[in-house]
Amino acid sequence: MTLPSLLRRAWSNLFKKPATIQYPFRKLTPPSTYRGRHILVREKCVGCGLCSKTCPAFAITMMSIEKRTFPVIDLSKCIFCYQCEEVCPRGAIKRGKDYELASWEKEGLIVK
Amino acid sequence: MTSVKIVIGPVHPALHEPERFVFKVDGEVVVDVEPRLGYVHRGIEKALSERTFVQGLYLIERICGICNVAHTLTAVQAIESVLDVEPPKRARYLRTIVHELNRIHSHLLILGVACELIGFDTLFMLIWRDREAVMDIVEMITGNRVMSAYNVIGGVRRNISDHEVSETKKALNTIAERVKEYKKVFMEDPTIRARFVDVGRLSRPKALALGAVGPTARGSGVKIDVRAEEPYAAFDEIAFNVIVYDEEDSWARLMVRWDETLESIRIVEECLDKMPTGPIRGRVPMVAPQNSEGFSVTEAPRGELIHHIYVKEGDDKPLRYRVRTPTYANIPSVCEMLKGGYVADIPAALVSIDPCFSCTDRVALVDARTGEKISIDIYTLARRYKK
Repeated sequence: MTLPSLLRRAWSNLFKKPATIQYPFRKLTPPSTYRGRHILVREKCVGCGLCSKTCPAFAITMMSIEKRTFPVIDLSKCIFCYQCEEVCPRGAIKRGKDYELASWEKEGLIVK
Repeated sequence: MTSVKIVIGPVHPALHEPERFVFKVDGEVVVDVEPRLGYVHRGIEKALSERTFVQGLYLIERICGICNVAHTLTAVQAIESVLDVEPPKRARYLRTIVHELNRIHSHLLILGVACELIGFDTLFMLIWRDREAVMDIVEMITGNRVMSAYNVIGGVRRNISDHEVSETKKALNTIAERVKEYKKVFMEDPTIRARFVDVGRLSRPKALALGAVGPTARGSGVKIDVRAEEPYAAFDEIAFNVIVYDEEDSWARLMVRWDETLESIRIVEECLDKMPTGPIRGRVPMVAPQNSEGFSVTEAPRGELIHHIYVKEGDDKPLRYRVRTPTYANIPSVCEMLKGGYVADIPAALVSIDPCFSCTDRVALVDARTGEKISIDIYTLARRYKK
């Protein structure tokens, strides 16, 4: 009967720090490509509504704000595919790195 | 001979995904198995024919979370064939890289789950810790750990930078070391051998007769791999070995996955070295130029995956979309494996085909509570729930 070769590794791991990251105390910085909460740049938006038409999850509605039409993204429906960023002719939708999206109010999930 | 019927599922602690099986047992031995598919049916094929190609791609990605790249890759190839588009060369290589990274993390996932099911939690934790490194690479390249949204019609979403190439290579080196170590454990460890060797036998003629695909077939000595037989993406320019084991049991099927993981790591490294420069995305027409039919087949982590699409001229939606997933093809084989085995060996045999039931249950029809079929347009649904 041979000793299982994994035993040594299992024993040494007992004295090591956990491999998991202690999340609320230590936070990871996502890579620059990360698809988190959207950033809407209102100055660039022309209100064409392409993002709303293409959204596969129907999460974007066009609303009139201050007499102009702007997209409003409902993050509770969003699937974070960023197809809206893809079709935007003016680059008015940008990728954000924010991944902590939980909110007490529904308003906190609306990106205007 | 009296036999007892045991109903397992749809929701059962031994199954990681909901599916119903009726086992006819004589004492401790399984005599017959009766699977009943359709519990997690989601109506995706119908929903796809109501979405444009671009929108549908994100739904296709969600057929299966684990092998999402395989699904989108197959779908974009099928759609490209009906739209008469040819992806640029660099895009083909990038697709291959993400596809193989997907395979690595899928294989590590199921090998970890296999260890957990036999009660070997130490190895499960260690494998999943190293799987996280692959997820980090995928996140860096595509923007999300799981849902990559990387393949688009006519190419890929984003390019890979030199920094990302070196980071990927560094991480893959560590993973390769660890995988070799765990593979050795799988070959030697008495606990693993006791639970997997000679469990769930599927002989070579049976595997051929029942149409087994992927690692399930390769563990029974059948040399089939779509990547080698019908090369897609960049596989025609990359040399790799098709892994075949002749032991015909659960252990062989899991060993195929270890070797394939190592092979995939090598493929990714070769792709990163050989990748040509150039554009990553071409222009794509919005509508189909003529009535046509597209077909695409790829090697998903679980076996061959087929997407079939019909379009009408001038339409931006598929008329009919059909998906055949590897688990669906492997269900007859897994029933054969379970027959003649012990009840306690059911999880060990089932896990060796890497079942993915939410992939499988797309085909049956859904009835409403009354037994009556209702169909509602997705846009009506969207209007109803839009404030």
